[in-house]
Amino acid sequence: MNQIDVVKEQMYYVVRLKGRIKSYDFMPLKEELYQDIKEVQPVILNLTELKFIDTSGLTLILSLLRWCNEGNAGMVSYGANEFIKRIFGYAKIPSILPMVDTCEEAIILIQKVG
Amino acid sequence: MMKNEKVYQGIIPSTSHDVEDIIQSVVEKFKRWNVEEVPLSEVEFILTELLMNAIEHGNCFDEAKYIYVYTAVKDGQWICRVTDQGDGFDGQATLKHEENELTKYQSRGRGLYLVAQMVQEMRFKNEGKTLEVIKHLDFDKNHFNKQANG
Repeated sequence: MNQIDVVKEQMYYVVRLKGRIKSYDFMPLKEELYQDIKEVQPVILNLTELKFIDTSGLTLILSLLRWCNEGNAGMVSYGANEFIKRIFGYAKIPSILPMVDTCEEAIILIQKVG
Repeated sequence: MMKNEKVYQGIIPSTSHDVEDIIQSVVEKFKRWNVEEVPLSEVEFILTELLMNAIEHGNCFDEAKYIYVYTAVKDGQWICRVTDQGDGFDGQATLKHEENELTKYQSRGRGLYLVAQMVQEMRFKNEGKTLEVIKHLDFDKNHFNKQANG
C-alpha cells in the first residue's frame, strides 16, 4: 500500500500519510516525500488515514516540519485519530505543529501561519 | 502457570522482520485473552520501541545476537520484559537525554521517553540489558478466573 502521497495546490502542499508507518518504512518514505516536494511552500498534513505510527513516523513528520521552518513556511496537521493524538501529545508535538480536526480548519489556519 | 495469568515468551534474532512477527504474535494473544483494557495500538507501540531499542542500542544490529521477550498479563498488570545480548546501557541517562531533545527534529531517540509516558513503571535491569515496563490494567486481579468460570 502506498503510504504517502503529495498533492501540490497553488499555495501549499497537501501531504497525506496512510496506514501504518513503522521503522523499516522510514528511509523509503523519506525519499518518496522529498522527491515530490521540490519547492518551499506551506504544508497541510492530512492524517485522516494514518492508523499507526512509531517514533520513525514522528521523525518523518518532524523532518518535514524542519524543512518548512527553515524555508519560513508554515505547516499544520488535521484529522489525527485518538492514538496518533496521544502519541503526539506525549512527544509534545502540538507545541510546534498546530493540529486541527478538519481540512477546512487546516486551510484557514495555513493561510494565517503559512 | 497460574490460572489467573497469561504469559507469552519468544526469542528472535535482531532483525526488523522478526520484530514485526513477534509483535503480531503478542497482539494476537491480547485479542485471544480479551484484554481490552490496553489499546492494541499502545501494545504495538511499546513493543516496537522496546524491541527496536534492543536491536539498535543493545545488540547493535548484530543479527547473530538474540532478543528475549517476556510478556504477561497478571495481577491486573501487563508486564513486558525485553532482554538483549549487548553490553547494557544507561537507561535513566537515555531517558533524560530523550526528554531534553524531544522536539529538536533529531532523527532518532525519543522512543523510550514516549514508552515511559504510557506505562506506570519502567525498570532497567541486568546492567541495562533488560528493560521491563509495567502497565496497570483497569480490571480486577481475577479477570481470567471470571472468564474461565463465565
